[in-house]
Amino acid sequence: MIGAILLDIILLIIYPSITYAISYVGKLIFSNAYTQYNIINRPFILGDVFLLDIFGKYPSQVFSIYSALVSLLVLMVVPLFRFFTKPIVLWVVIISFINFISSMFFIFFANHFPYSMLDYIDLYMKTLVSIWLLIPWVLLTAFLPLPAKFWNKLIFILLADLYGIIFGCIRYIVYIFIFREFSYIFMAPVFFMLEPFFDFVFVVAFYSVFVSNLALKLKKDDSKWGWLY
Amino acid sequence: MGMVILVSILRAYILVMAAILFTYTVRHFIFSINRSVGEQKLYYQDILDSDLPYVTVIVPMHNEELVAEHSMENIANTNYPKDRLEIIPIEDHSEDATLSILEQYSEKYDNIHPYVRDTGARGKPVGMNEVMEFAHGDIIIVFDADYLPPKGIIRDIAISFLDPEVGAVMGRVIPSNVSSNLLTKLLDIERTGGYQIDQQARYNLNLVPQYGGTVGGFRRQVALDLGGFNPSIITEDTELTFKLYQQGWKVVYANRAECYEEAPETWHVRSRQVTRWARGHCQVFFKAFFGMIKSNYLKPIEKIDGILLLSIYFIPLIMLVGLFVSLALFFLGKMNLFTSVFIFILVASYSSFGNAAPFFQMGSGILLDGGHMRARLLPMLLFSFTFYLWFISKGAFLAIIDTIFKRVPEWQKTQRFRKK
Repeated sequence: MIGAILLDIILLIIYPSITYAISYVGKLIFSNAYTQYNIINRPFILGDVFLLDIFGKYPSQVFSIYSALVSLLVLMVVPLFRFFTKPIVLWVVIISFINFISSMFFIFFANHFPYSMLDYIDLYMKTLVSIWLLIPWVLLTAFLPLPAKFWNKLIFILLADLYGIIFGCIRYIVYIFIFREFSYIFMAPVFFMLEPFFDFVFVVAFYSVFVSNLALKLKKDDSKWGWLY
Repeated sequence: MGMVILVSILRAYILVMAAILFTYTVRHFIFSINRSVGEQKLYYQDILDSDLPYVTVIVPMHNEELVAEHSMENIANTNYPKDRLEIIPIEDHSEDATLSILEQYSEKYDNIHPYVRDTGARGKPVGMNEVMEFAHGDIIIVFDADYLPPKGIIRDIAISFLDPEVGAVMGRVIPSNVSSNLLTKLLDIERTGGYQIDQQARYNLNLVPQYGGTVGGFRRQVALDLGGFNPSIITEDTELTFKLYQQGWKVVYANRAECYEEAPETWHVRSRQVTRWARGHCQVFFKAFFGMIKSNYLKPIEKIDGILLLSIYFIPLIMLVGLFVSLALFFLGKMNLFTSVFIFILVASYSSFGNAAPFFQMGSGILLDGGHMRARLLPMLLFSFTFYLWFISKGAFLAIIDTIFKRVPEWQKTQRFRKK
């Protein structure tokens, strides 16, 4: 618990700087001679999160129709392919279904789309910071039953959080790129299938490596297996 | 006004879903802690008694030519006293060489008496009911046809019935074909979480371990007195478990009674299997829910665990509906930080990518088994997430329809993969 609190205190101190740094990188990437973007701040928890004030692209009616048709085609055709295993098919079907709903929304209610790029970035950044703060607690809970040293657990939690920060920053840039180049139509599938879910994948990955190493170490200690039955 | 009410209902659904998943997370966390650092309850294996009960081993079979020989050979060669052991394979409407294999074994071993069914409805519950009427054993032990029982397992299971309070016993299921492909490896991890942690922790904590219909046994007369197995329920094991608890019997778990099974090797076969499990389990939910609550024999904590166990196959359906609710909130512009972070917490805390066991439970199980390489496959359970979300939801949905329209589902056999 001390480890998780310590990590959270450090994160609470540094998250404004991290969000500023990735927004600055975004500014360098997406600004050019004709368009310059500002970095703005919004209050969050104890400090501010910094966001790139950038705009995305609304899809045209034609693009929305094409997107809906492609999604529908994928929904109907992919389940017929025998060489895709069912889990892959189901992932594709769910993503296509969400994309289909999103496309239909833009065909019929494009003017009512409730998010701007800034709204989305604001939500993304605040979600990201919240998840950085939550990762130590999720992993701490998962590590609690495991007979390992405090420092080993702390190092893994630290590595997982570090990975979360780097991965989150890369995704930030990728998402801005997608919404700028390919429009807001992909906001829903990205949000539902890639965001918090992907964070969970690497949390489980770090946990699995930790358990694997621990099992290997404990194999040599017979006393640990005394209470199997 | 209408929109405000709609958004309130959608948000209320998310909150209720959160409360349900949080409850399950806490339950499974307690199980993991109990197995890792808690006091372990010993099974009955150390009891020495020459007065062992007379046992009838039943092996239901339908087109089992690929596996029948192996299971018969293994059961016939267990070290249980032969004068107290009767083996009845049920040949249930087979169209392959199952019957001739069983006839060979019947000639080879005196205590193997195949029971042939070629008329009437097919299915495990019907066959079991018929055999229980004439079986000689006080205790019935059941193995599925693909199982490979080790030498000491019948004694390990039967010995617990010396305790007069025990109504049924469940052993541990381990896949024998783990190395076949990714699916069988993932199923192995799931089984580890389910048996090594879940079942044993429930046994340790005096909650409600479940009789699983294979690698387990029950008292014949008790099952008959409870009306036998209901042919309209496709998970007769779950039905028996809850009938026993409602009548004050104990179900115990024997972690050391390990038996090897053949896990499904294709996602198609697994989808049919898990849909059937979910459908049957949810059928039992509708039949047993109020009985569990009203039972005078159960403590409040047992009732709570029983209800959670009964409801577990509804969780993916609840989550699938939650996905649609979240989609609606998103397009209504009501997807705020709370909801967004909340999705992460939901997935992280419970869903586990698997069925009915969070990742930390499976990790703890793997650690107890000492399988270090298997642990690295945990993130691969990502593939199971949408798979279970869909097929368990489908099973739960079918059970709801069965209950409303009083439909009787058809029995489905799991395909075998063993090489000839």
